[in-house]
Amino acid sequence: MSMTLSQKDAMNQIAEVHEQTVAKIPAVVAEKAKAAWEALAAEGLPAPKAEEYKYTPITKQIEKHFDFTAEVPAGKLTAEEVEALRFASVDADVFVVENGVFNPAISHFDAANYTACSLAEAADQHADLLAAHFAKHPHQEDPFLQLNTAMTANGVFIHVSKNKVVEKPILLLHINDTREGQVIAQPRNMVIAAQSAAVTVFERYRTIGEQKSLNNVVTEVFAEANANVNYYKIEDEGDAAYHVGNTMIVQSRDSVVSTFTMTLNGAMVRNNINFVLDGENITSNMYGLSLLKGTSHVDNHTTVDHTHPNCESNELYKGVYDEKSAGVFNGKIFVREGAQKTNAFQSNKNILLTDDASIDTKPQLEIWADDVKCSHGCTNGQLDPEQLFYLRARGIDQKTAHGMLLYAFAADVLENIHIDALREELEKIIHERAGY
Amino acid sequence: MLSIKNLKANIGEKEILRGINLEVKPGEVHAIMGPNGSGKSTLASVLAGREDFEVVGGEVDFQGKDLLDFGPEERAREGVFLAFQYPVEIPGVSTINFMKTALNQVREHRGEEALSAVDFLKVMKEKMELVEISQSLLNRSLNEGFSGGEKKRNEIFQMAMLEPKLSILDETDSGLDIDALRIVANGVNKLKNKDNATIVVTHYQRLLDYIVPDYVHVLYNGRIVKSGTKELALELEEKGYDWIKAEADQQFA
Ligand SMILES: Nc1ncnc2c1ncn2[C@@H]1O[C@H](COP(=O)(O)OP(=O)(O)O)[C@@H](O)[C@H]1O
Ligand SMILES: [Mg+2]
Repeated sequence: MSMTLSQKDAMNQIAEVHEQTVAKIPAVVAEKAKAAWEALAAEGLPAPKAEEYKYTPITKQIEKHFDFTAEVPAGKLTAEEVEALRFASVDADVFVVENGVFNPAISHFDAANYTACSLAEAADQHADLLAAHFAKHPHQEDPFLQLNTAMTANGVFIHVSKNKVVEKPILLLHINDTREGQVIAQPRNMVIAAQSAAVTVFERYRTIGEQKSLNNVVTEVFAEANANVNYYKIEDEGDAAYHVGNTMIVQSRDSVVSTFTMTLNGAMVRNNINFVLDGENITSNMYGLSLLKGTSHVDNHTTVDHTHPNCESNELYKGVYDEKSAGVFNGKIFVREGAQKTNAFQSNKNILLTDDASIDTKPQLEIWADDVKCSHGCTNGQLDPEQLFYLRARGIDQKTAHGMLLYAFAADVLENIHIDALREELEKIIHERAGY
Repeated sequence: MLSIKNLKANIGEKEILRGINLEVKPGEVHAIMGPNGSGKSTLASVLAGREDFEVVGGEVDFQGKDLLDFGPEERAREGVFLAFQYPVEIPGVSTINFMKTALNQVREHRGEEALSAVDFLKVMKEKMELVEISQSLLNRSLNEGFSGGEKKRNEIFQMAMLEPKLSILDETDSGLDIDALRIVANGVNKLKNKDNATIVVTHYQRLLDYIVPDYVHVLYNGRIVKSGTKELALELEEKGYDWIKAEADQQFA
């Protein structure tokens, strides 16, 4: 692939930082970082016409606004600011990732029933675990995933050992503090739930300050045999925040993983969620809700790779797009040759509130097995005028009627959140956004 | 109470109401009958303020106010109630929440205080008994998965809650079994008083055995072509609409 001049500039910057990074990081990680860099160097960041990124031209934004070699400000977050930026009503162990780096000083957690440390410490203290899991997901082809691996920064490492049930939710609170300058953050988190372990992790993304920020985050999730993992991601970053997230999930037999991705704000957001179902009798649930306005842009790319028989995946993504906001949804479902008796369902529903809002939806089913049940559907439209008329005909003013219908549309996805206090907080946000 | 003069309405280019005249006084029950497609639901919808129809002529006076000036919610607050022929399902909107929002907006318009949660539940219990509707039904999303009869009963329940001045029931009887019909008719009769009025749109004379009308009108091809008393309904049941159609076609040819 040919590269434009500006692409080379960005790539040269990345090369420089990559060199510095590899010199500093532990060998298990460095090896993967080198391989990732080679792959990335060969192809470059996605060009404007690259199939996977054609609706989300983030490379252009990166080239225009960011310098990888510039020093990232350290961040000056105080404990009070942290409390104000999380949902204080949600009782959780709080791990703060500040400008891409885990900062224990402003975190607070008791880590009852599990192990937690920075990824760098894990490379030292849990080298075997890290070697067995770091960049082990079979789909390593995303350029931003490669970029994160090549320049890997310090995130949070969570390990729940066999049969342990972690009751308290774990919050990975990512805050970019741009008050001292623009921020490029490339945190790397890892969650391992060993056999029959259970844990709920939720990531929240916030910005403080007005300057530009870029998050290129990777979270690797491993659910070993019979483990249960809930993984929620709630994005509410600043108007000048760019975000690419790769959530890489590997499931072993009899495990259940449920994800929920909610996007509320940001300049341009791309979420890749990538499931590999590496065993039988696995359940994978993916839910999503995007509520956007202004000129925000969100792109949800999901991949579910069914490689074994008797597994089930369910996917429901909804979006409400107001003003000039834009959404992209791409749902890939692979059913490999041996994956008989697969049940795979996908649904994407969107409401466009203005003529300037837009949505591109693409289901992509590739099925090589013959005894499977797969379905997908999408609806894009406005609020139902019949429903609006019905509510108004009972005396309810137009604005309230509108809000009631929007709320009803959006809130049903929240049923899948199993932390009551978090669900209530999100319901409040939807009420606010719906104006009802 | 309601005075309709030469009301004409189109949908797109198509003329549907071609000059309707109707006077309704407090305490009266009017039945509007007529063959399918004659414009009965259109008339009901235009009165309730559905925006798909364009009013191209005529006047509608409701208690001294020009009804056509108002949006649907203002009409409802002024006391117009339409029981829909096909009530729409609204998943995710709880029936109780909806009813509370609607009632409080109507009360505010009437200069009454919003009901407390406790008072609201009390009123609701009372009206539920009136239309024999169960709590479990009201705990569900609005009309979602309701049977045809349940939807119609829910319409009458809402009517009971909102206490309108003018109720327009659009084929509320169609498709109901006799028990459901009795419940619905009973509810309507109990809500009737000397200050409110009812327009029942129906296809079948049977309903009029339960809700006895003061006047019966035949709507055909966008016009009221014949009016009479309840005996007219019996005559229609016996002789069908052909003789009326023939008369009307001749008159408006
Ligand atoms: N939304 C619509 N679009 C086009 N034509 C309509 C629409 N609604 C009603 N009509 C037409 O208007 C006429 C009257 O319909 P309607 O009022 O439903 O009759 P009724 O209730 O007496 O059976 C019919 O010819 C019907 O096809
Ligand atoms: Mg009709």
